[in-house]
Amino acid sequence: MHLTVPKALLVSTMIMLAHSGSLAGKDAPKAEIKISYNYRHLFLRGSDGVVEISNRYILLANQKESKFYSPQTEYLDSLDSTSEGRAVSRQLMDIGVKRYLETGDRSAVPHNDGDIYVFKSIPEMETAVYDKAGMIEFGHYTEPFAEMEWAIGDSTKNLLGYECIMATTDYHGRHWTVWFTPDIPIHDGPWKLCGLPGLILEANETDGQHSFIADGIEKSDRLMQPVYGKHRYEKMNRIDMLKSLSAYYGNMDGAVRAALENLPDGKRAAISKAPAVQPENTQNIDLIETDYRK
Amino acid sequence: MNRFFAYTICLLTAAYAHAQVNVTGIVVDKEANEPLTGASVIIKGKDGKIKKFSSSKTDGRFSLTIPSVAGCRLEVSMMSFAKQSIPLDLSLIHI
Repeated sequence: MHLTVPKALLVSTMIMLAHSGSLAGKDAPKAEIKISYNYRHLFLRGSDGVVEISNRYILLANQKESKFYSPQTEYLDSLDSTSEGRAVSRQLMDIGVKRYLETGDRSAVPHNDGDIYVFKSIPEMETAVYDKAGMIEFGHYTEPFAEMEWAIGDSTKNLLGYECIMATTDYHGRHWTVWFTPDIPIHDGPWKLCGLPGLILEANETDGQHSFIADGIEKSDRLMQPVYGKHRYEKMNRIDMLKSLSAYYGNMDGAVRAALENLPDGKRAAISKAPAVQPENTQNIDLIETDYRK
Repeated sequence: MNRFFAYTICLLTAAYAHAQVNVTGIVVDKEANEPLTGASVIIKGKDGKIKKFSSSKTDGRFSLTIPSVAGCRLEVSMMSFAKQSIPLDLSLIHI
């Protein structure tokens, strides 16, 4: 007897999940979980040469969306968004500069930590990024989730008490190896990394120049506020933004010098030091995305 | 918490060794009877390793394709919800 069968088997199910806790509020984007990350990266800082920089970032997430940001930077951005806040900001700057001149402690001067804000939305299946694009330029863009494709490996390891599985991807010019835990079933992670069946707790790119490691996880109902001063961020093409940032970093001393020679009031600041010699980038230190070079 | 859930599985057997299996479904909040977006959906093999994964879309639906469901389990999880694990073995047929 000839049996005509369909090409595909169909297994259709309806899964009903039993609610085990309180749902996040519908009106405000409230987080359910907060993860703190340390972002370590190598940077060619003008005449200083290669330096290792450490930024503290936080990921706030619920099942639909998330926000990845630097709390220190957001605090300063929030001050700059109101006239009262700007007055506080000036006071903090005066105190900080005074302390620096007395003790040489540069960290006393208020400064941004990490500059990037990343908002991910599952309903819209896209990521929105707000970041520096130059010395005083800021840009933003969006990209679909589909640009990141993962291969899950066999290796496992324990991070922060969670069993993690290894996965890899080639993304925007870099090869990433990450460790994610299905025990925390959100498809999210640090920076723009997302799309695995569990939270990414560690991420390293092969050249050893950029890495993220989670150092704390806790429940949270913090609100995921939008970016302060959104008007500062010009809508940009991602590649153009990276080219602009790379050009600025490649000549930071020159950019500062040019700014000092062209002050808004028409004056020129007296620059006594000779232009610094930019060291050669022998280690090929580059941005976290390198596909702008194509 | 009562972990009762209801599901319907329709299995159509195939004679072809190379037939792909489409696993589709809808994830629903049992109490509110509303679809859930962003639930983590994983198919694990006999060895417990992840074979395929996805997440439920805005209408609660998901769709995965694998070469064989023999010995596999479908796991659905989401923060604030009890995890569900269902065997997908061809030897089980429920109507």
